[in-house]
Amino acid sequence: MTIRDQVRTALSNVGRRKLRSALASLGVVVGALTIVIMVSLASGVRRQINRQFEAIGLDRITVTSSGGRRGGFGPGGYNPFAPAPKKKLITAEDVNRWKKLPGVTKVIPEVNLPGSVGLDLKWNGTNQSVRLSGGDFRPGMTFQEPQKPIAGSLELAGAGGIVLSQGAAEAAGYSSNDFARVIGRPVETILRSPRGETQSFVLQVRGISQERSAGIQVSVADRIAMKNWWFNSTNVLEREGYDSVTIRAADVSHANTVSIQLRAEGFQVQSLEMFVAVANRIVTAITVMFTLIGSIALLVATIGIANTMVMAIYERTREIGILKAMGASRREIRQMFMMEAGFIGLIGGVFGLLLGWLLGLGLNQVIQVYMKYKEMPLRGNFFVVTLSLAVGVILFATFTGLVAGLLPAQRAAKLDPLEALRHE
Amino acid sequence: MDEPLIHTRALTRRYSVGKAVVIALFEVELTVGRGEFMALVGPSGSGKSTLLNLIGGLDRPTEGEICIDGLSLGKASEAELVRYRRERVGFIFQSFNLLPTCNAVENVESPMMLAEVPRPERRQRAMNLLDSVGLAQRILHKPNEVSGGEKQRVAIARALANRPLLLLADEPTGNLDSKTGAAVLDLLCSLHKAQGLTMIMVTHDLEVAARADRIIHLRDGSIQDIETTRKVEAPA
Repeated sequence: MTIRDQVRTALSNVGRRKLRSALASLGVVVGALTIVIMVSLASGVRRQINRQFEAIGLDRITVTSSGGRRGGFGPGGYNPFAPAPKKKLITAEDVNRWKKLPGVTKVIPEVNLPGSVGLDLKWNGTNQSVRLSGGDFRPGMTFQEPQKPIAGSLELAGAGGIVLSQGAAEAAGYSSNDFARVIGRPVETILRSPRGETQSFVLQVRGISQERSAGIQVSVADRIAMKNWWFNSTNVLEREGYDSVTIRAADVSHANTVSIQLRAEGFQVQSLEMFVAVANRIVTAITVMFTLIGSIALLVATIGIANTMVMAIYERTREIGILKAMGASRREIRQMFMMEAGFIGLIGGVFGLLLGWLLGLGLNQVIQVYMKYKEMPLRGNFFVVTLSLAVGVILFATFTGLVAGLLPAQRAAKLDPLEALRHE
Repeated sequence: MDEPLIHTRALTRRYSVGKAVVIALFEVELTVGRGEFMALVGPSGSGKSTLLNLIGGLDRPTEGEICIDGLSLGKASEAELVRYRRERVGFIFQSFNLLPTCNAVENVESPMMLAEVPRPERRQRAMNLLDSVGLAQRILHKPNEVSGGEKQRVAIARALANRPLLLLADEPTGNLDSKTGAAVLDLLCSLHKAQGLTMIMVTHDLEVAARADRIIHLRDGSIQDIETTRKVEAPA
């Protein structure tokens, strides 16, 4: 008997008891559906996580000078009065050295002003209090997309430039039509100390950012100058070093190498790939758990299939006898019933996959609507059926059917033709 | 006549039923020539069906030897026996034993499917066979849609599908009324004559048996008498 004929016969045998075959494959449908939903949710969530981290920049690492704060965990537990650990300064030499490391594309040093610095913006005849946010960009741990300029550029190369927020510009009496016009014009920023001393810095407008609140951004060089004034010093950088440095690597693996090296040198390094790895590990653990539950459902389904096959063989004992009398071999009988069981599994797998996929599509829509309603910046699908998942589920379901058919088919193959023919 | 088609030597078949041992066939010596039509008669339990099943390769002897067309069925491997059943034997049963879910042409095709005959050829030959048994109009009918006589005709067509050497019929007219039975018997006889088939038929109807070349009378598992109804030398 050719394989084609076996397939055809098995299909017609499955088809001739539609209800029973459908009921037998129902268990497989449930199992496959569970697996599809769970695994597609996991891969969707993993994609979301990766996308969010990518938006921030997986290729970025942040180096901060270690320690520097009083209090911490010691041998006796938490001690708020523990002496500040010795600072490991990030010097200008470090920054220059890092620029030459292989795979490093950009090194952006950061200097923060003390929190008690007051900052006023004198602009267009108005005077407003503004907040100084980080320079070029800050790889914060927030799920924020990188900003885009409304006018000009957000790049602050060299000293003397300033980026103003949309909020600050509007407070100064400019409308969005005026934004392009103010680029390149000078503005005055005034630093205030709590004692009332002031210092004016005249800077040139480089761009307007999207931010709604009143804020400004200045280059690191200007911030060093501001900090020098604050501490009445000329060498703040030499004494305190940079507060943090963002290093941008060519890719994630270089970022990894650099962070390992800098950690070894004693710097505190934060890199996102660790977070991604941890998040992925958690997602994987949950996926494995739920997939196991789905697999248990599939295994239970094998009992249903096995029962159906045993019944079918009992009913068709005489038919098996006829086939044997006509010269069907044991192998052919066994394969015929194995195929039937396999088809029941396959059909269950296909329907389970289909239902799981449709359910995922529906849930994706629901989640999108909910996210929009809640104004959460999460877009994209949470249930993603990959090709490997689809193929894997169908193969697994078919395999389940084959396993279920193994013993019944063996039983059918072993039937004595004469006894089978006598069967009523 | 050259080498006989079937040759048995001390052919014995015992069954154990619980602790008891039933001797269904005891030291049967039988020779059947090619092209011969032989009837096996005897009361029930005489061993005629057992002998037919042994000849058909559905059963194996306990002792002795049965050699058919050079193949010793007792010693043959399972695969050889399967091939023997598939290629050299056609079986006709009292209760027809058609595949209930297949129509007439599919039933006739089924042995050819097992023998891996290509589909178009299979269909063509099945149609021809059904035509030759007078069922050209019934090819798409399922077994439960045709009469007993028609069922047996389908079964005969099916038995001939793989051009067997040997046609074995176990009470082929047993489930049919006398008129239909006679028609089926006529068909079998004409096929036997036309195709030069060797045919062995189990029956307890002596009138039916009288159509055969030889009648073997079995009783309690042994051959009691061999009756020659006409000249065996006749086929030239």
